[in-house]
Amino acid sequence: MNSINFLKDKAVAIQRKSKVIFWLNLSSFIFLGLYILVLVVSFSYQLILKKQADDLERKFQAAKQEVESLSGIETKQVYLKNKLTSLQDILASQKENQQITEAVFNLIPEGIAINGFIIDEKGGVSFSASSKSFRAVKDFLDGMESTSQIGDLVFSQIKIKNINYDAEKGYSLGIYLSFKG
Amino acid sequence: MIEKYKQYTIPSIIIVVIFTLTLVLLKPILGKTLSLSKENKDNAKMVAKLVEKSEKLKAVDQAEIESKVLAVENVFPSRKPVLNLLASLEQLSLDEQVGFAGIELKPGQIDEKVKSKVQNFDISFSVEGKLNNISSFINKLEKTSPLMRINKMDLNMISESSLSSNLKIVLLVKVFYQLPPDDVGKLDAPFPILTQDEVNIIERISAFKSPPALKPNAPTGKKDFFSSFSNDNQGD
Repeated sequence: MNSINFLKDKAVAIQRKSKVIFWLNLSSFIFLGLYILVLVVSFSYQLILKKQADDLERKFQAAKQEVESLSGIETKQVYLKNKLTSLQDILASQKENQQITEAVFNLIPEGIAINGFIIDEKGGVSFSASSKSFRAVKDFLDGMESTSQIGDLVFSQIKIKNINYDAEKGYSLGIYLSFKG
Repeated sequence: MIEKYKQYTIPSIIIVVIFTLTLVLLKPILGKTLSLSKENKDNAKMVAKLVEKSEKLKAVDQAEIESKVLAVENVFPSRKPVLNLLASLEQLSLDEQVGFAGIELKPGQIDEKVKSKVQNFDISFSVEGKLNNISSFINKLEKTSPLMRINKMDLNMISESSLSSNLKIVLLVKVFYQLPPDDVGKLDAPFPILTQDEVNIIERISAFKSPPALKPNAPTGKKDFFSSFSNDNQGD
């Protein structure tokens, strides 16, 4: 007669269960241990960072003090930088005025009288030229017509606004010049 | 039933402990660690900047920078240069042998809102002389301190023989100056290095003609031009 031993199966099941519980408990402790390790490492790292922060603060104060002790030099350099930035633009516009003046002075030949020579704020030049001699006026106009550039200055416009003749005063011309750039 | 769950007591307690520790300790520690790490990174950068800046400041030749400041101040002053302007024009007209007359000064007001921007005022005057002398006067006018720019020129020739006769020219000139900057910027602002163009400008304006020194009879102004900045910095 065959018999079935149910007790043996139960004992195996209990054994298996207690093994699972054992591993569950063990892994819980291991996990707790690892967690505490993470906690300790994090705390230690925080302490290291705090120490670094203190060191950096000391270095910062020292560097700050040094920079402040040299602030006189910095002030002067900032002053120079500030003024030179403005100077650059002013000097660039100055150069143009000088060139225009020189260029137009070079255009005026002998025998021509110039009146009302005006350089306006845009750098345009207007003046009236007069002479009793037709030859002088023609030479002046020919010279202007053949000149497209004086030095670095290139004419963008040479405009003769009017030509008048008076038996007593001779010829008079209204002229306007402007330059490129 | 209780017996059944009793065996899970330890893992349960551990889970509760971990949860509590996470809330009470780990979270604040991690938060603080992250913020400290970021702060340290920023502070390290700041310290490196300051150290670099102080090295650059130490390398500057004090005498050289002072002479540059004087050269710039002479040509592009921080205050309205009325007296110096008149002295310069008088000296230049004497040097260039032209008659100097009919001066009209429009000093205007300082625009306090744009302190660091360029300030200017107009002056108009007439000079009389030979074409060559006038041409030379005009040429040198813009190379004379204080900084000037011819804005308008009105020339009348008296006779046809332009080289030998006297001419009269009316000039409208803008005179420039600029108040010094209010502050030197932030502590960690980089030390401003002058570009080659700016160094060239200093060389160019160093050759500007200056009027003979005017000595005031009464005590005026500050002895140390930069004294207000130093005091401000110490106060910060």
